[in-house]
Amino acid sequence: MPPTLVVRPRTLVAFALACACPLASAAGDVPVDPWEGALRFEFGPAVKELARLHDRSPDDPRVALGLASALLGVQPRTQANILEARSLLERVVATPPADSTFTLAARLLLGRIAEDHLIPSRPDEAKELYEALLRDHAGHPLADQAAVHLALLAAYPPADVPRPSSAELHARIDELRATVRTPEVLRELHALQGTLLIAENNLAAALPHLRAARAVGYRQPNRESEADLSIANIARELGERSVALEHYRAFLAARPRDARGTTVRRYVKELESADASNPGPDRP
Amino acid sequence: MSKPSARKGLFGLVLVVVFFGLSAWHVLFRTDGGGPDGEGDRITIRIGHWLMHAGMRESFDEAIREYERLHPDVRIEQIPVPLRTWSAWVRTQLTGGTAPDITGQLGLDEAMLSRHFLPLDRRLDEPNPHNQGGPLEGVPWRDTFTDGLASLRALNPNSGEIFGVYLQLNSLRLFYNKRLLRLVTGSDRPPSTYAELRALRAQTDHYNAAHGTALAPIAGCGPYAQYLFQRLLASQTQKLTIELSPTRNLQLPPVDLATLVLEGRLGYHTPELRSALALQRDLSSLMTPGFTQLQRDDALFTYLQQNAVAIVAGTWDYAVFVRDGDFETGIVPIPYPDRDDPDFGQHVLGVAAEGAGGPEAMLGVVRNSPHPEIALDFLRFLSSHRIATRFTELSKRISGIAEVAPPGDAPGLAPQLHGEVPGFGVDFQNFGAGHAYTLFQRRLHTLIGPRGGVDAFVEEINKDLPEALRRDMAAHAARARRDIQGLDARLGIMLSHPGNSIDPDEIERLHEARILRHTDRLRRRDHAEP
Repeated sequence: MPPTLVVRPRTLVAFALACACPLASAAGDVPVDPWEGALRFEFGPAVKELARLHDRSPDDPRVALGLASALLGVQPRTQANILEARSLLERVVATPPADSTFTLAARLLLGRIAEDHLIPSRPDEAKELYEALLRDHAGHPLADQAAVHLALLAAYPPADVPRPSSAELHARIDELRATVRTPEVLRELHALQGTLLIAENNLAAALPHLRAARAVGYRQPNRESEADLSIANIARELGERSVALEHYRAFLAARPRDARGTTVRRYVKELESADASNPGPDRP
Repeated sequence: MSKPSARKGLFGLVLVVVFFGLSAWHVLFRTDGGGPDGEGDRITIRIGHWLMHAGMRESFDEAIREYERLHPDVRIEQIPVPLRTWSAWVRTQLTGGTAPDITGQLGLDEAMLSRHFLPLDRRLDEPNPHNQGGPLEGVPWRDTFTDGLASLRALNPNSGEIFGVYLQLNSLRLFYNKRLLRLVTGSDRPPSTYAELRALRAQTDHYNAAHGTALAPIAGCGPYAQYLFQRLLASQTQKLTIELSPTRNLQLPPVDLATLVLEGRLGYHTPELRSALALQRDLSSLMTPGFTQLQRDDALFTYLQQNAVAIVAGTWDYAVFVRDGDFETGIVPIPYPDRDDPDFGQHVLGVAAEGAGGPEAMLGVVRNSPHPEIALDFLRFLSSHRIATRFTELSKRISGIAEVAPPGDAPGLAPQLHGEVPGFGVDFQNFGAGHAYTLFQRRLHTLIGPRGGVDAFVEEINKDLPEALRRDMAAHAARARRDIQGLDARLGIMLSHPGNSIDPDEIERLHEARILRHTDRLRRRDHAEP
């Protein structure tokens, strides 16, 4: 007797559901510029489209950098994607000219991959990559970023690396500061030193660093006013009344409705009355 | 196979085929609009939100009627969704591309906001045209919100964008039944300090004993008690916040608190933290017995049934008391311990400011709206001074729009902008993966139970706290690492963007965000490892 094909409803349901997936996927496939998509955190479709562009123009460093970056962002993050991104970036680095934005970005990202994307991370390898980038292109905004990462690696070393003494650490950051020219990188190095010195309770040494960083200005929301408040409080503690007043007033102007406003206004009042009754050496 | 069962099988088969066909048609030919739809030639704009508290739907209805009168070619449809199902509903709608043109943003993270909502930054610099002729005429739309939308920008540290606006602000108040207060205390004057609030317990006990009643001083429930603890326990850590703030900015976030505890520089043995725990025990005795197991509706019911003299609730609940209460409700700020309070005054700096309040009713325009400009115009309309004033009157809530007064009968709802620095909470709420917070809640019975106390609680919690904090710190560091990875990816995307069309300032801002998160992760790394 020939075999009979029996189609059970449940088989059909399974078949229908299996068909539904590509249908839904097709319906959701709206072509988007892959770079724009990735900027909206849509890394999955961006990887697909950039891979297609990369297949078409394998020597285009822009596309390779874009694809590598999208691979670093796509979820779930897998070691295979990270390794593929790394190999794409290595090819970008090998593509002349050596000082193009794409090459420098690729070199910076190779350091970042070693430090923060690969598991386990490879801080030694990252350090070498950052040092080489800084050595070859110091003064370029992207290469200068490597200096911040080197300073952070020195300040917060992995558990198995001995911590440098405070003097050694600050000497190292001073040295990095002397190497770079990008104002925003100088700002981050000053800000880091300020933070480290506050933790060491060396407020007098921290203050000039914090002020130097603040003078460059910040772009992250609220960071500038938070820096004003830190500087003002430290200056107040150190008895530098005019500095304290300047930064308290900047804080109040930027955050008039902040929950700390009344306390800050009280400090301002106290400093102003102290100024009036006892003109100090720093009084303007 | 017998005939009836074959027929049954065939029927199922036909049903499946028909439904599959319909679904496939719906999925494949679903349009995102594009032209007039709905009734005749009118354009339909849908607005989906979770704001179902008293007065809110009515406020939206009135604003919709007014907008439709001004724009006869537009029809606006309101889709209120219960809070309990909001999270699943909004995610499904956004992911499926079927979200309303204007969608609420409650519970959405930065990735969801960036992916699905129009960035508004550029548009916020222009004045809101619907403010013409009012006190906010000519003011950039951004500055018509009480905090210039800084609170919403802070939600998106990676993109630095603003994807929505808010209509209202929330804070916490002590609402009291004026009649019961008079009966129990013999006075119309509500408690203004914590000592006076405490006295209400003895006064209520005395009244209950004399009249055979079972009134509670405060109608409590688990979630609202958390808000109350958060507000009042921080009174005990005000001075400590200033002293220990790691960047000297008068704040001690939970991650820094955890760091200090793990370094052994702070703990529940610290006098200020012990005092906060004692205050928590004391406060608990004012609330309905078993309040930790109760929910918002239970507490509201207890108060509305006049089984409690007062209730600590959100400003968003006031409309319920006005609508459903057969009695007059008074409003006061949460009574704070005085500096000369013999039990809880030692560590207090003064009544803490509330800031501008927490943003509420956050709404944005979805990217795939067929009519984004009209949706945006309606959003501007909703946040105009005139409509915000009507919202406030109808919903009895505090507006997020500058220059809009609190509801006429409830000036007490206005945020307390003046006050000292708030301290920090002692329960590690909103830190890491919530291990320490959960531990705190699990051990809470040893603090507030009838046979409990501060010593018993400290002994219990200290056994497991370091491990819980380390796990939270690991979760915090892991989250920071994920953010950094995303920011690195974003940097590469920006630097390879065709046409070099990315603003260099934007790249600088991204570098800054990367370094900030990176520093945060590295600073915590030691404490995240076992």
